[in-house]
Amino acid sequence: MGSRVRIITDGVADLPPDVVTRLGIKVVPIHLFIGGHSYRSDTFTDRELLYRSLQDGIGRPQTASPSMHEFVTAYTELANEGATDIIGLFVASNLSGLSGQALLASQQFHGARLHLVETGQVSMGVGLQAIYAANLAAQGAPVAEILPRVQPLAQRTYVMGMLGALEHLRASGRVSWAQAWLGDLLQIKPLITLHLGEARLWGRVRTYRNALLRIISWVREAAPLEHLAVLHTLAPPEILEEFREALLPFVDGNNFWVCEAGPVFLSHIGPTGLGVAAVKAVR
Amino acid sequence: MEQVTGTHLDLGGQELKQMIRAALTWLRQHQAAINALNVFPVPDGDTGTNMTLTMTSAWNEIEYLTEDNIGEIAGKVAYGALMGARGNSGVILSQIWRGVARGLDHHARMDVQSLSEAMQRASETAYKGVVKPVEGTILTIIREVAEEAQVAAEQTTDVLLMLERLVRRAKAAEARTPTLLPVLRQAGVVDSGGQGLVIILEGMLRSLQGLSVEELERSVQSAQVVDLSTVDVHGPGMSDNEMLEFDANYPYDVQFIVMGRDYNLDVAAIRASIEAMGDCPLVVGDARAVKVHVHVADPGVAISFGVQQGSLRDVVVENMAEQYEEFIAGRNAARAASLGADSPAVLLEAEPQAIGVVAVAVGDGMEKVFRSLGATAVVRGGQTMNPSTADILEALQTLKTEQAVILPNNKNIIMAAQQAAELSELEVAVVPTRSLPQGIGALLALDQQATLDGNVAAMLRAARDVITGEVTYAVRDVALDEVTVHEGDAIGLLDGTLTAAADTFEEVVRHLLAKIPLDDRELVTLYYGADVSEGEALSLKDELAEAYPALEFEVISGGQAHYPYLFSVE
Repeated sequence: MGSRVRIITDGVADLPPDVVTRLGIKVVPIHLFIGGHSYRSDTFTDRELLYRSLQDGIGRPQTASPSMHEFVTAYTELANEGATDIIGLFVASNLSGLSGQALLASQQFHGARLHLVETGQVSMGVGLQAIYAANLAAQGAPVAEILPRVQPLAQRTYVMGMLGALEHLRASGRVSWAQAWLGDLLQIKPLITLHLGEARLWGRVRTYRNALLRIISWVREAAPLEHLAVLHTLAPPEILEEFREALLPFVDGNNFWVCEAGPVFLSHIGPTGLGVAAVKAVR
Repeated sequence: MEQVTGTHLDLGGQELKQMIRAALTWLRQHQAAINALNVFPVPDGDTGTNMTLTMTSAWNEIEYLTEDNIGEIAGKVAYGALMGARGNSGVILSQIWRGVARGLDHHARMDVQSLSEAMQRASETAYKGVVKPVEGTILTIIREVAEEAQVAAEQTTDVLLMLERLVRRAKAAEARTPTLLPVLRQAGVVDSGGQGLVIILEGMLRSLQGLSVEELERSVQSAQVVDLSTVDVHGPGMSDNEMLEFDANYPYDVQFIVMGRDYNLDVAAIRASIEAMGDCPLVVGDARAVKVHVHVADPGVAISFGVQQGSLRDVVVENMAEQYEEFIAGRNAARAASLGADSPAVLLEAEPQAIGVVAVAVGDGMEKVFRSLGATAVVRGGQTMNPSTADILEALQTLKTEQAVILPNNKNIIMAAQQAAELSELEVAVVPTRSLPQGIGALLALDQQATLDGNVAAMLRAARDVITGEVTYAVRDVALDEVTVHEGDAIGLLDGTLTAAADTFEEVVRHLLAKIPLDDRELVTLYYGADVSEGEALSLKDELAEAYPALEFEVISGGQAHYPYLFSVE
């Protein structure tokens, strides 16, 4: 028996496909444009192409929100599957106009009610909130019970990690402070936190190892955690494994995911990065 | 009981003044010899030069005084030494003078009892100034001198006889330093700071004995002393660094000392007025004398203000705009250009900072690296030219923050930095970085949102995480730490320890890298010095990258003198 409450999110959320299937989360794909060709975030697999476009002259990847039609189609599918209420958890509204379009689209659709919840997040910062909501929905909780439990999540959700370089974030135009003391003489890897839509430079390191240690110490301070996800792009496998093991003590294994950053997130942060998304427990 | 001659029962301020002058002259004669006592055969912060500069600053304070009160004169000497303190030996020397001044405070004249008291205080103050006192150094000398003084004061009333005994004891203690400090024994030298103190005491004694202090032939003054004259140009407002930074709205650099009448100077009030006048204000001193330095639009305003406070001394007015143009046009044009226009000046003001950073660095490239990573002020200095306490203090005064961190980036500058931190009105912490790469590591760990204490701990941890390699040439023969080197050899140090010697600098880099445990290390940053071409550095990099495929290599123009290569392994 399908739940009457369903969750919808977008292609920025970087949810692992098996989780999407298991929890019945609807993902509206995002469009990518690379070298004159158009791709959809959910079916895009050519990572080599993406890295090439980030690294050399074939032109930075561009991204575009789903069309009204795509939103309405997604809502209609959910309604047809029996949903009466849809909870929308999308990329932070100050970083993208996507959630605004989702709301506009809902006004042209009358099959179910859309409840937008501000995530203030990107990537698995959105994904973890969607998983949280979908778990409640799967247990059959009514929307009046789910919403008051999902709405406070943004306040407790953080994305934190190291970027291989800041240039991609800078070029994406998504942060204004991106010149903060990173110089351009030495190779510096910024450590960045995102919380409630606000990005902040948290530290500067020069090696993967130091980034790893700093992120682990951040997680230690943030613990206890309800949910935790490792986010990575092109991280050396041995580093990734060490990272995963070091983080295990801080969260219940059932609420711990390892995800490769998706193409949309990647096109904004660049080809190398390592970090976490975390939902802090209520203290 | 010895016979009382009656000629030297006590001394006045003018006699002390002559003794200080003699000590300085005598020290200058021996400067090169003291410099040569460096334990490490590297072109390092020279003890003789540092102590001479410290004593010069002390002498400048009393040069024109006709005061005969010895407590007054000693106070001025201590103040001058404090402001001019350079290098660890200079700082300890300034502490010794501070102790002497305390011992002689409120004494119009000095007899054997007050001389003994002065020596006790000098010893105590010197030991207190050092976090971990090491025997076999200048500290041992002053302690033994104080012990001798205590005994001698009971046995004679003649200050001259007593001083003779103190000098004899100082020399004996100095000769024993190699037995107390293994590193000296290994290097086959006596302690250089201790030797400096012996020379100062001896110069003072010679003055009292009526012996000349200038009888040594001038030839003793080798290149080191010639260097000093160029080095000495560096008064406040005159360093290359500052000239490049001057604000065109305040083209005049004004310096003077206000001498108060009857301890009537209000330092805080003077500082407030001077700060309101212009840029880069530095106001230090006490109720008796205040040193003022400020960049202003109209020097007349500052000087008129000074005259209202007391009598003026050592007035210096310089037109920095003129100097700046000369400087740009001069032989350093290339360097000036590279530092001026394209240095990220805008970034410096980009974000409000809670914690200012003063970094000591040598080399244009190094200075740029520090600035690009957020250092608010860079004090020029390093291996061969240690900045004084006053230099660092002046940099602190330019900060617009309440809190600051100093990165000395050289073990021989740590104490001067600590002294400056204590003197500053800001809340200042010293992160005792011992090399430029350590300083860079520390600076990267700075978090403007964290507390000062938290930052110091994190920065120190980050600094220690960096392995530093330094490649230079030996300035003399030595067998140390199982490495035998000859003057002129290319040598390499790993985290301050002499580790390798070879025919070429590049070979030393290879040797050093081979000795580092590279597990968990990812990145080698090679900073090439002023005498190495970019091509040479890049071809060394290519070769190393091939030999160590697991490591990433980065090449940066450091522009540092004396060290063809510095590198960090992270």
